[in-house]
Formats: sequence, structure tokens, C-alpha cells
Amino acid sequence: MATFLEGVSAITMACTLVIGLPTLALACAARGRAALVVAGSVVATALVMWARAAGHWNLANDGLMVVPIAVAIAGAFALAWRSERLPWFGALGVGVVGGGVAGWLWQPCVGEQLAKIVNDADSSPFTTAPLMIVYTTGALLPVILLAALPHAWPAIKDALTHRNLGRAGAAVGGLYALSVASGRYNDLVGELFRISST
Amino acid sequence: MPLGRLFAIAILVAGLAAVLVTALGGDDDTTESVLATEPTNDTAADEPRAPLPVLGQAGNLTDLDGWLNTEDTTFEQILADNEVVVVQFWTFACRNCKNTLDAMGELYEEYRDQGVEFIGVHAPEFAFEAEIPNIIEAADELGVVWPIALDTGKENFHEWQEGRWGYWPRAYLIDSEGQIRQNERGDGLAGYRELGENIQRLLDGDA
Repeated sequence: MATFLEGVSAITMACTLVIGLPTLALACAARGRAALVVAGSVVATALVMWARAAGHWNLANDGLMVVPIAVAIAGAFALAWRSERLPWFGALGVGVVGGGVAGWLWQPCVGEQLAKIVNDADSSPFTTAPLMIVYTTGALLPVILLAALPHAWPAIKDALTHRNLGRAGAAVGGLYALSVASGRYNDLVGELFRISST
Repeated sequence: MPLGRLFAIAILVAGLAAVLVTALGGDDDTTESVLATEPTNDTAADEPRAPLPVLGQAGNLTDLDGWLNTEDTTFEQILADNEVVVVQFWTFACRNCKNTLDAMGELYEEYRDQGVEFIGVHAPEFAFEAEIPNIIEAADELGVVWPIALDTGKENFHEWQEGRWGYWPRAYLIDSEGQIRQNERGDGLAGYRELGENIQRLLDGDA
């Protein structure tokens, strides 16, 4: 529970916005398939984060690597836009790609619980990998709630799955891909955070 | 009611409850001291303790953009002038880093005149954290009075932290031979209390 709540308390931190904003945009772009996309995204973000902490994932996320990363982001958003035509596992896969990239790019600010997870990631994989999913579920809770809302309250489904919301999500996705490709993504998020907190 | 809808409602209720619990939980701020206290159990105090592990040789601090709160210096000079050095990687907009600053300040006040130096290596995540006037203002507001090494390009942040995974905050305790004796990730108060105890052990030659 403490791990989940630490994730929830991290929602408003600039460090967490780095993964929160693209996941939110991906959910908007996926519209009616947002729940599946978000589920795939949360698990993939967490597992890539865990793999990095455990030393199983040491691929660079800078230099020339930003080009394939940006292409993967653009592809994930393009497929998310069309995800209503994809089979369920296709929509889940879109989330896995989007979330995997987010976990790859993330440099987190670490609280007490997350520190315990990353400290033991290598030695206790069967405990720490699920805990990382729990932490990420907390950190991405607003997006999860947004994806669950149309299913819990069908009356607002039309508004939350409207094509214009999808277009907005896809546009943010395009900006995300471009800013990652130019190496300015973190600066963009930092500016958003600074503007919103002043 | 369809099962899927019930599930979605359960997620919403649980999620909103978690947000409420977190919001009502308040800040992580604490006034609890991290300074070592006298052991209350005499038996435990008499037992010889295992030496602190040697976690490798500390790296250097290079390609810095300067220092704050101290004369222009080098990491080698600080190592040569002190018995113990604490190096903490932080950045001023990181809440987890801020959570540790009271503990760092308390340790600094306690040990600054005992041959212990503290270095806050400021490694910004975002562009606004890299602007030196912003760092000076934030350090002043946050009460960071110990030396700050400006690692704007994050070369040292990545060099010191293994693989391609960097954390804020992360603190290293370094002995007189330049060896890392504690590697503290995150903002846990227990870790900073242990840092205080280990500083004392190094000063006492009990490590």
C-alpha cells in the first residue's frame, strides 16, 4: 500500500509528468480502446523501469538512439489513433510500445519505497517487478481513472471518446515525438511544470 | 449491471480513495532528528560491529560549471582536506531531494567542524533548473549552505551512477581513502540516520 501511495503522491512531481503526459495523450488518442492501451502502457513502463534498475536494460536513450525512439513514439500514436480497428491484443501492444518508451526515457525522483524497489531489483526480481507495477499504477492513476470512466459511466462515453479529444492526444503525441527527436523533451516538460507552478 | 462496468466503478472508487488518502496524509516533512543517538541497549553497544562495506572507489567531479557556497575548489582538494566526504546528487525542483535537505543540513551543522565535508552536486533534470540564478535562489530558499558543485551537463551524475539509470537524490559516503562506504538512494529518513551513524563510525575509526 505504501508503494502505491508513494506513486500517487508522485503524480504532481515534474519527474513523473515526464511519463504522465505522454500516457495521458496516448489514452486520449486511443479513445474507445483507452483502457486496453493504458493497461499495456502501465505494465510496460513499470517493467522497463524495473529492467533498467536490475541492470537488464542498458540501451542508450540519447544520441542517435533518439531517432528510433521518436519513430516508435510516432508509430504508437498513429496506431493508437486507429486502435478501435485493431484486435484487443493489438491495442494492448500499442500501450506496451508507448509505455515501454516512456519507461526507457524516465529518470525518476526516488522516494523511500521506490528506492527499496530499485535497490533490490537485481536480487529480488519476483518481489520488486510487481512492486514496480504497483508504484507505476499509482503514478499513472489519473490516466487509469480517465480510461475507466467511460466504462463506469456510459453516459459520458461519447464526450470522452470524441474524435476531437483523440486529435488532441495525437497532436500531443506528435509534439512528444518531435521533442524527443530533438533532445528537448525534458526541457518542454520542465517549462510546462514551471509555468503551472508559478 | 455488466461485469466490466462494475470493475470500472471499483477502479474509480479505489483510485479516488487513494488520492484522498494521499492528499490527507500531508507532507513527508518531519522534524525527527537524523543524528546518531546514544545506544540504550548496553549489550548491543558492546558487541563489535561489522565493518562498513567498501563499495568501490569514488569517481572524480569533473567538467563542473563552478561551485557555490565555497571558494573555487576541486573534489581532489576537498578529499585531501577532509577525513570524510558526503556527496549528494540533487536538483532543486525534485521533491524527494527537498525531503532530504533538513537531514543534510542537520548532519552538516553537526560534523562540518570535525573533518567532514558535504557536497551537493546539483544535476538538473530540466532547463530551468540549470540556470545558475535559479539555483542560487533555490539554495537560499531551501537553506542549502554547504558547498554546491554545478553539474549542469550531468556528466558526473551519469558517471557516478552505474548503467544508464540515474536517481535524484543519491548520496555517497566517502572515507579518507576515497572509498565509497555507503550508497544511499532515495529520500528515506532511515538511510540518512544511517549516514549520520556511519560518518561517526568513520571519524571514530570504527568502520
